[in-house]
Amino acid sequence: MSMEVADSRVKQATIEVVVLRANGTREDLGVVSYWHRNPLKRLAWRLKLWRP
Amino acid sequence: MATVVTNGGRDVITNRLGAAGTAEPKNIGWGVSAGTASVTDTTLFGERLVDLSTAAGTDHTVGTSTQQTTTVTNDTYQVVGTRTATGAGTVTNAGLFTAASGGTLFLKGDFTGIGLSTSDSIQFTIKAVFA
Repeated sequence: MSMEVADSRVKQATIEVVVLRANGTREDLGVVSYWHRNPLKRLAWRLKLWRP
Repeated sequence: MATVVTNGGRDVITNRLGAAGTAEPKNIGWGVSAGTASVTDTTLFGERLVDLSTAAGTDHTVGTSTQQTTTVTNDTYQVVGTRTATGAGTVTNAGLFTAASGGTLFLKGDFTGIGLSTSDSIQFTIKAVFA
């Protein structure tokens, strides 16, 4: 007999932003804040931010 | 730049599972001070009203919440809402609360500052993925 308990923490949380200027300009900044349970995915997202 | 479901947010989740009366965390607030979001946080960094020059009180924007699918059906809680600045400032963090004024901080994220002038808006899409 075995018992399995699924990991029930939140897997990922993000905030995406679109800036709407008063002059009508729209700036889609995409995901500006990110967390993933997998630290490698967090690292990958940080590295992507640095890409020119 | 981290986004976290706070310890208070976990309380909200279990409370709502038990139908114990906690309001839905779909109210969006923003702040102007620096910091890295932590699960122990109960407030935003330098929370401001829609007038970014005013710190007194809270005036969260009620967002629209939906279930979304990221990995498996309906595994994602999403809130979308737009806050319009009535005074200029730089937004550095945002979060979801259980009330339009005050309430429990459910989720919080910090990010590179976004400068807003009067009448500029930010449309936030905030997601917590559970699978």
